[in-house]
Amino acid sequence: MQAEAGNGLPARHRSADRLRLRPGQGEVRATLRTLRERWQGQSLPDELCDRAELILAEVLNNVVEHALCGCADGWIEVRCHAAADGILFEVADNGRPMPGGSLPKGDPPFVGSSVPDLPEGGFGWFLVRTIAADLQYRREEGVNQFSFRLRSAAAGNA
Amino acid sequence: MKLVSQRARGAMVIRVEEARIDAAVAVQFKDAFRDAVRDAPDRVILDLAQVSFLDSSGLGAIVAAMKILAPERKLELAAMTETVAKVFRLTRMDSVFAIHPDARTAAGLAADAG
Repeated sequence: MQAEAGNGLPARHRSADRLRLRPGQGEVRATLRTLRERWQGQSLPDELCDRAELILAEVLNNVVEHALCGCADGWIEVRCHAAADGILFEVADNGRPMPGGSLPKGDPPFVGSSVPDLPEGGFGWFLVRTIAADLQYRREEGVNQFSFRLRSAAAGNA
Repeated sequence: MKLVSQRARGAMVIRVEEARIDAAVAVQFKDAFRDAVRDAPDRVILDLAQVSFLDSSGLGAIVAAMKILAPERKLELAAMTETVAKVFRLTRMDSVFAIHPDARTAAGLAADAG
């Protein structure tokens, strides 16, 4: 995994990180850990870091499992523009396109009363749609490009 | 995936000694849980005090754990951190489990525990 540091501006200015990873859960965890350390180093609020880590985990897991699914030459690139008012993410990968060319609707799985019928999956896109904003997906020259934004709960007070 | 089991007053407390239940370890969690509850009593309490991160795969693994025990036995959750509790709340899965503030209280172990 290669990392590029921010550009040395004070924490309240946006800083950009770019990380490239190969598909695999070890790489996903390492990416999340690296970015979490960067955000905390910039003194971003804990609740923003928590949401960002969760949503990025869901997005990267989805890419690994569905887009790249074991492809030997697969890569994922994460760009992250972080500031106290929020974080903009851009995730690119060279895997299969989204089915239907668009993002999943992310309807919440039905939580019924019967234990055998409880959902074990389908929560990921629901969480992404609930927590992230400005979701945009496009496919360009064999590359998936997905961007989304997380706003700090305190946005507007800075 | 380290799970530590302890029996207390007719319940089994399973303490998760990992910081993350996520896509990387969801399968290992299910396998370790299945082994841990082989001889479990009716009540199994999952102590999540050390878990600071849970994603949708981790949530699914805990639901799978509940199904492993059902129908004769029941899974309850204890000591969730706020980060983990939030995932259960957002997905409404907090309505499915009995959730306790800590494992000892859940197991009925008060100050008189010996």
